[in-house]
Amino acid sequence: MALAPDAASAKAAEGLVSDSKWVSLGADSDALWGECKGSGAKPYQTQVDLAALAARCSCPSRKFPCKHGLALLLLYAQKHPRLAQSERPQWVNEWLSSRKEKAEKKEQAASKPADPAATAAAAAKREATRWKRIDSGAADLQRWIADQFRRGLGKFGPEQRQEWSAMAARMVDAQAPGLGNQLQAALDAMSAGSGRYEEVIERLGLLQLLIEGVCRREQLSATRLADLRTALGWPHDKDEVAEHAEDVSDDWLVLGQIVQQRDEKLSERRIWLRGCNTGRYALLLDFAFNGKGLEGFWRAGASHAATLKFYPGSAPLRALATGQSASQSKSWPQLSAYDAIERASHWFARNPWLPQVPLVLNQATPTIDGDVCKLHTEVGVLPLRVREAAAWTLLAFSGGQPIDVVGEWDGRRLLPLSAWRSGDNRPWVLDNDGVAE
Amino acid sequence: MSAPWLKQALVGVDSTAMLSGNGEIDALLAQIAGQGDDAALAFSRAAGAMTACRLAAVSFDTPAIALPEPAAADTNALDESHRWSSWLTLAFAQGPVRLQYEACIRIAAVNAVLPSNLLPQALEAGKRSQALRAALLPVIGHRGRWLARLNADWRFAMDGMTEIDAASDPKAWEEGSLAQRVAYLRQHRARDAAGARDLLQQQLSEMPAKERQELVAVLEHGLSADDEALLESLLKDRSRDVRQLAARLLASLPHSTHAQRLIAWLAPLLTHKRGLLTRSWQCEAPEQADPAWSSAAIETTRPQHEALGERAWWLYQLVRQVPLSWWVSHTGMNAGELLAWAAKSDWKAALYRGWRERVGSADRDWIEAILTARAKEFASGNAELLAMLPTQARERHWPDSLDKLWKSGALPDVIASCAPGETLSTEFSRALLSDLHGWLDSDRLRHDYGLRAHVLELATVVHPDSLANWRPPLRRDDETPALAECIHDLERIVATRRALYA
Repeated sequence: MALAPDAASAKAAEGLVSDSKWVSLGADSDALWGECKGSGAKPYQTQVDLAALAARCSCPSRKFPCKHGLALLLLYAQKHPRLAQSERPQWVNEWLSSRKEKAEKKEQAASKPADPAATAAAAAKREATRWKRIDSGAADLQRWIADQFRRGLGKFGPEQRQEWSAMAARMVDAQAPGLGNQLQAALDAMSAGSGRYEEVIERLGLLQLLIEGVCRREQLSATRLADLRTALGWPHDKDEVAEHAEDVSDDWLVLGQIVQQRDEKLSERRIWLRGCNTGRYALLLDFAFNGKGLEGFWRAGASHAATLKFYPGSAPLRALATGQSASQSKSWPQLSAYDAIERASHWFARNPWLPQVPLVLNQATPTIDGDVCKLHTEVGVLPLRVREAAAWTLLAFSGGQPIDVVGEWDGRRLLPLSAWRSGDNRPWVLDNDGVAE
Repeated sequence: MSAPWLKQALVGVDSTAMLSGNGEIDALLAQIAGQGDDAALAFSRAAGAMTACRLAAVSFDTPAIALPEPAAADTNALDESHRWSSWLTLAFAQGPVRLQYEACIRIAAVNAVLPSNLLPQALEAGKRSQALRAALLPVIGHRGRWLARLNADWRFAMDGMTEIDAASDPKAWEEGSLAQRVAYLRQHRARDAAGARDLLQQQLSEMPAKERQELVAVLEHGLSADDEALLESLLKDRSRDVRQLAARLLASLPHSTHAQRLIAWLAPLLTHKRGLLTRSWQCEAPEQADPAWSSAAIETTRPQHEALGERAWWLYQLVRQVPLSWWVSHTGMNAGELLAWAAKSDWKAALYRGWRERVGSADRDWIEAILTARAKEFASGNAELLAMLPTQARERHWPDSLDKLWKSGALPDVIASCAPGETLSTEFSRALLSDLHGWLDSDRLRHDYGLRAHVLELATVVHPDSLANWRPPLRRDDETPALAECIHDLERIVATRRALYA
């Protein structure tokens, strides 16, 4: 159930866990499959690769795994009799073997002794082209931001909204999607009304700093350049990271996680970890695109022994997990709130372009004041970024008593991901629909 | 960011205004301004610098607000891993209300309260449905009441401490809300009828009409001849509703002077003819309005949209205040015979309507007679009559086949006659359920939206013992989504109820 992208899928999956829904079912040691009655004419073909716990389904749902995949797994967990050993149908074979092929191809490509000089030259050329595009986009953006300030943000109407959207799209064209996202976030804040003007100015200001960075990239240190690239939305190659990264092995406690829909086809999953021995914080960031599910299973409160390879940057948080295995569960860390905000300050001081940093606040009490949900801690009161329904469940969870809260601090509000009561190992977890604008 | 910044940004940056931050950052800002750029560009650079600095200075307000008192612990809360918990979550999220009601009753029966994760949904369900509240309030626990204090929508849960708490606290009478005062008076009336009446009498003159009406209605419980004096005085109350209420209450005291007066007015209209071979009763409506009637809350002017004619209107008002027992004793006919006799009279509509209003839960034979008569005047309101009968007695009036119930339109009445928390008898339920299985197998529900809704409600009122033999319906390949949803909900309701009683 933890694989479920949200509560609605989980509920829908439960509804499908009944014999009558499945026209055919089958399993073998590597995979599960079935055909499920849906609202279309033909039944949907669903299959699950047991080794990777990845699902694929012919239904039009955009969620991964979809409710049919989840239902199949539930039936498997319930050891449903119809999921017995049987002959693999053609379509299951096709998918599994194409997966194998892809995996093999990847291996082959990796093992093939490529001509190092040629590959390096090709890579360098691609990089140069991309920087050129980014330069051009950044120059346009700088002019445009100055125009906005000159004109004044006060006059903002549907025309301006169009203009801002178009500019965000232009950034994506210039291969700097990070700039586009920041601009889109500024546009959302603008549309929310005068209460968030300050935020808009700040976001535009940070965009300007990014542009400065782009202009002066030759003079930047390697880590600063890494910050810049991440902020621009230019991902570092996973394999390169794996090779050159800083390794940290530890028992990692899962603090909390969230899956957010980025747009039509893309969703983003963030999992926050804390090393029990090193006290190091880490972020596992994955994307799911149109059929490729999120892999891996991380439950809030569980501990996993793993080696994390951190991406480069001035305030390294994002990491890749390797060699993950379950370990004994650890007790919740006793951290002082002062230390927590000190740490957050340091992260932002080193890299102001971080979208969010983790905050662990112990002994915090949530309250509701009008329609604003706030968290009272020994270091002050923070506004929370939750929808009303989620705010009430958090309040019901606390009952006015202090609880330990983990969330993402973005410089303005805290997005609470999970909360813990002392002496209770069932946490409150944010529903994926509970994030406010 | 201070006001000058905001103003510049909103209005338009036009000159190299000296924007200041505080302390050390001013040096940086001066440097930026000094680069001789275009003012807007300088502004955006400065904004960037300011933001980077602000982000690095994570600090929060420390307003001097006192936190609300935390809720007391609920030691008897159901654990989240309790076997009911997933069913309860679905019940509160999707209803129906009767199922939620039953769940609350069962939780109370095991001396537990709702787990905290269900409280917001349960309180929302209580907000939407008044009927649910009586069962909900005892199981929300301290935490539920604590939550209710924080949310205006859930105030109903806050006011109510359970009825017992409210009622035994004399402060509720002095300072409470109307609902609390009604509850208090009701409790008091149950313990000490006379005392409650005196309490009410003392404060009557100060109360507004609505309060008077609600509190006087409490006197219906334990009504006795001693209340006559107070009620007589209320016949002259300023408010029409209160007068009508007092008249109705007085009329149910057969030996009160009020009832005697009414009988005196009515009796002459009922004449007994003695023919050669037969004896029959005749009933005539009054020819003229008697001015003395106004002291008995009888109105002489007929309301505009009243279906009855003027004389019938007067007759009806007289009839509805005369105790039913008088009719039986005066004419020697029993309830059934009286109904049959009235059916042939010119004044049938007035008689029937008057009698119907007088019928109370004590008048068993009248209820039975009305139900058997199946006159069209009684067509609506059957559910109320049925509700006045005990469950076993009701079922004798219904065919025990779903088909017949649906065709005669009685199925909604069957369901409506069960108060929240009441169920049908086991045998009746078993019969209906086996018919339901037949319907499901024969695809009867496919096209009938109304029927599907009733079937779901039916599942909530059948006796829990009858669910032991429930078998899941066969699913078909060509189910419509609506039908599939109906069957899914049906199975959920059955499974939930079985779990609650397992």
